[in-house]
Amino acid sequence: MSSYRLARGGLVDRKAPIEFTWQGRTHSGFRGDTLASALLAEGIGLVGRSFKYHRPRGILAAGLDEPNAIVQLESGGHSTPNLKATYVDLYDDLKAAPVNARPSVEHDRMAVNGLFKRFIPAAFYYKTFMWPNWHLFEPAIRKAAGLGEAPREGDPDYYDQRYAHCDKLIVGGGIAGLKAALTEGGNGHSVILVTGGALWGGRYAGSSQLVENVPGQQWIDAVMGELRAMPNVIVLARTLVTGYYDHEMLAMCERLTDHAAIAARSGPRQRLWKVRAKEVVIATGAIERPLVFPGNDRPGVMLAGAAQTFLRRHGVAAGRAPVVATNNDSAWHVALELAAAGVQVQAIADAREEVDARLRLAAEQHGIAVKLNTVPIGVKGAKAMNAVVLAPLASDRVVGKARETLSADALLISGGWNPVVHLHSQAQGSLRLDDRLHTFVPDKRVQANRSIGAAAGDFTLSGTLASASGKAEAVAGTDGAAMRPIWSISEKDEPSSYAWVDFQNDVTAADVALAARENFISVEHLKRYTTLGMASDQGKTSNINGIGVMSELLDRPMSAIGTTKFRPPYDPTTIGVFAGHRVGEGLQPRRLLAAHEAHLAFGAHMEEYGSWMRPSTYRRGNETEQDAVAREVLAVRNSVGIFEASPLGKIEVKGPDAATLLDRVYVNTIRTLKPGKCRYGLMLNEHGIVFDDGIVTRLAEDHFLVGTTSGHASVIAESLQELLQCEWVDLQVLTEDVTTNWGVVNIAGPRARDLIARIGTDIDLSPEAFPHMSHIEGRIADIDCRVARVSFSGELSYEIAIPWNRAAHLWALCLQHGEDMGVTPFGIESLMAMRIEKGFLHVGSDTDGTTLPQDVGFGAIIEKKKSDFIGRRSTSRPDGRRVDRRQLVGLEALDGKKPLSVGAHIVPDRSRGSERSEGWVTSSVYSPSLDLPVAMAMVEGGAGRRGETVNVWDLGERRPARIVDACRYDVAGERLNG
Amino acid sequence: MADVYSPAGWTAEPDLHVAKLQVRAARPISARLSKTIGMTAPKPNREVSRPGLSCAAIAPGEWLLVGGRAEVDDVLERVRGNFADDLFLAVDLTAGRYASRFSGLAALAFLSAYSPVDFSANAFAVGSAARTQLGDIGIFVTKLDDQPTFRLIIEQSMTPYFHNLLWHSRSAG
Repeated sequence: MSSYRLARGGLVDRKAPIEFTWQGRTHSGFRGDTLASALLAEGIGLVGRSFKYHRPRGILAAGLDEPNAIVQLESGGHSTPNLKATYVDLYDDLKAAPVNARPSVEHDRMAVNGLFKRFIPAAFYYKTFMWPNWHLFEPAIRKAAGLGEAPREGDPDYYDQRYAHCDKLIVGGGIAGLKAALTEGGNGHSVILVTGGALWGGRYAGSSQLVENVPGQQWIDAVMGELRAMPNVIVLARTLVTGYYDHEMLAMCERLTDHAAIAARSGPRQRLWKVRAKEVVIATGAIERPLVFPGNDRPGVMLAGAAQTFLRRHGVAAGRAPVVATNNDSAWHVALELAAAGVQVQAIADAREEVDARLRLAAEQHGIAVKLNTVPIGVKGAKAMNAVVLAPLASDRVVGKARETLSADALLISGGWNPVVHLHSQAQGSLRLDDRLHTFVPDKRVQANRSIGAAAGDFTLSGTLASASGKAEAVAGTDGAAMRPIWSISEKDEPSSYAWVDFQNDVTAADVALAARENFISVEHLKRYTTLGMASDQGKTSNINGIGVMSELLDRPMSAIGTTKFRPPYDPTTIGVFAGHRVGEGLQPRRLLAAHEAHLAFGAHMEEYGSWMRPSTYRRGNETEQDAVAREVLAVRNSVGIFEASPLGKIEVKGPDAATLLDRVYVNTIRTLKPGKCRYGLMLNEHGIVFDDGIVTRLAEDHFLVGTTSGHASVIAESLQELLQCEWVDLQVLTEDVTTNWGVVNIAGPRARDLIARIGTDIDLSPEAFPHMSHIEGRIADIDCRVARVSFSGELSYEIAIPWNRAAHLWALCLQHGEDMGVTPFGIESLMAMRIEKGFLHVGSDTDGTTLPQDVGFGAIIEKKKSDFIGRRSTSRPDGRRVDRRQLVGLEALDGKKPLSVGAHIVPDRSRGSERSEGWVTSSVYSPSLDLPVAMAMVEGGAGRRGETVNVWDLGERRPARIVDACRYDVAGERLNG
Repeated sequence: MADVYSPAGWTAEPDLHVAKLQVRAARPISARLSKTIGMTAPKPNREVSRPGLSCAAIAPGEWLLVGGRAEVDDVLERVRGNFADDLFLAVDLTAGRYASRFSGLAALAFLSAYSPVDFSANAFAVGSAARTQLGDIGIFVTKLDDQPTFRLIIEQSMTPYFHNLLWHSRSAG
């Protein structure tokens, strides 16, 4: 062979060459390659640098367990960091580079860290950077740390999401998964079968090993043909189950276009599946454990099973002259398969003193030297290996004095296998230590799932087929001889500081020993102290070895050490796929007003207020917002203005107990309200905190209309339902949220009455017939409507509610009939200016999560009210009775016409010797009506401090202000009641 | 433009009238409801139909009436007579709702993309009705035929969001 690609074998399409770029240089592979297999085929063994010491690293695994070959793919918006080269399908013009290596993986500047390795063991930064202050060092450490780079550009792709339901979700496309799908599909169940990678068959993909008397790949092709023909079976490749949640809810990420050349991609990049299954079959296979020995992280050291995968799937040899080191039978089969493919396997070193005679004979027939009770104790070569040093075992972890150095360009290792129990564990299932496998296998299950095959610890083909077809329970075990657990190999009693346990996070066996010495012996403490298992591979190859090392050090069984909690996602998942449609305009529902187009036509400057797009102002020409507010406010004060108030919440409340319900919900007394009358009310939450306010209207004796703020309509509607269904089931009340049934046009100003009269109405608008805070149903412009005479501007004001689809028409009529009056549409900011002039409370602006009703002037109302209401008890706690609580007051700036800053702190005069904040400005505006700045503030004991001069501090600036009444405009309310 | 995206198989139903009836009665109301709507009252999460009118049971004591203006108004009028002795709330929601029909596999893919309900033929047969989620908003869905055709009713202020979802799911399926 001229490269590491064998002349035959593998599932790659050798007629479809693909060019790709690695570190800026062009290479080639075949369709069907992964980036890892293509690099290996090209003889590129050095592919990454470790996280901490920047040690040179090669490809260790063949799947998502890969800790070393972490790559950055593409550039610009398509750039994706921290992908595993073993899981990246090769495509035309793919561009990849290693992470954590500058300027190149061959010459990494930060490799200097390795020189100081002995000074920077696990947790060194916890101890070292405490003085004088961690934050002093943090920026530099953060800059040096990290893996790939997140793209700076926006994501050019989009992502789908979908729900699915099935009888059986089968996770894993190996022999176990395929057989289970065939069985369940044949039984007529609706089945979804998924595999994370591109190929079906798991470790049997590309294999000629017999399955049910048929060569493996033929068996796979036949079964997949049958499954694809079943209408009740969905098969999804490149679909990774990332999480198993309650009630058989699983999340899956399907990679739709990641394997295609960027120019050829169309449609969504990935799809998030949310699957509800009646039963989950976990056939996720197993992950091979590395052997932990000095130098085990050198490029050229690879898991034996990975070498087999590269051979079977891609026709790539991991080395031309490898040595195999193992403590179990599985690596022997790899060695034999490699030898059969023409690879010159130098030797098999097995930690066991005895092995199956048939395996030994077969090895010797291939000319492979067999060395028992022997383990690797070192690797020669830095960026590429050229020899392996072997030594006999003197005990389970210490080697004897003899050494043998074998020339080799690869070392294929196997320390045993760990079932992939992640999903079983995420579903709250328990684990047990299997004494033969020396690892954890699924034990009790909590949800409707079952593990089969290697995922259950069953490494026998016959057992796997039997449990997959439902003929038997899965039983942990192997066909071969027992393994010899070897957790760390060292020349001394102490674990080696160059024997890597966690490759990605640079955690060695000596680091585990350090944690043990310092009493971080809980598996959770071990993880946090050493960062073992905290890298992007989440310890897939390291966790069990770490537990094993700790077990040996403490002389306790592994079961007593336990495992850390397995949490979703199984592998890092693109944030975009979780967002799905929730980007841009789809981030959250944006709602439009009934007369939206008319507002735009009138030059409205639209802004989002609690999901509603509403005019802030209607700016003309070069007007600033302040100019527009001044013009709009003065128009309302002097003539008439119109405002669309459609988002205001409207909830019908009907029934003989409606008044009782509302009495319990509002701070105010509602039962005394007469039909046809309105009342301003305040709602609290159970903690007594001001939650919402609005106008309650009594439509009839047993029928109310509850008005809420725009942002709380649906919340309050749902809250009323909850109270009626769960708390006060005896109340005879029905409710319905009719907020968007009714468009609302607010006509405000001294000429409001005239304008309505011009438009035409059968309602008597006279102050006597229709006074402030009353409600009438009638017709305006021949449209049935509900009219409330209420005011948030302080002017004569009518809120006209008409069917939503007629609101734009009424708006147009107002403009038409009011033209000569100078009728002026006004926006939210102008309305806010007017309500601040009037000192009207705005929940959310003037209140926060600590505001009680007595803080905003409702103390007397509470004292007077006889019946209970939500939050009442909480208002009378000692804290609520403090006289120095912050209270809502007005503020008058004493130094000119610049409005005070919202959020600015109220601090006492310096002469009082205190700089403590006594409150803050909650609302502030330059009042066009008064031609001076007005503000409201929450100030400690504010109600009793009227007339006092305070300082208003904002970003270092102090301004004098006087505490005054909140209402600054039309204090007597004559305009409002006119 | 997402807000006007209308895929094949989707049509708005601007003339459809929608009303909601809530009744809280001390005695069984099934017979009176059947008499009021002119057909056998629907079972939970089912919809019954006659020319010009459909009635779906959407919650205990709650029904959604959908159809022509005359038919819906007629039922609301009869409610006032037939349930005069009971606590009821009958509200015409037409102005507050946005109704449409969506047919074909694209409709199925669209609903499966954003709604957690199982809309497969076995689980959601013709005549099934559900009040559920569509993305981040509420939706009422009924299955009208086996094409399949679904009637979708949402709160009208969510119309731009609804069309944004239609646009986003243009390649779903």
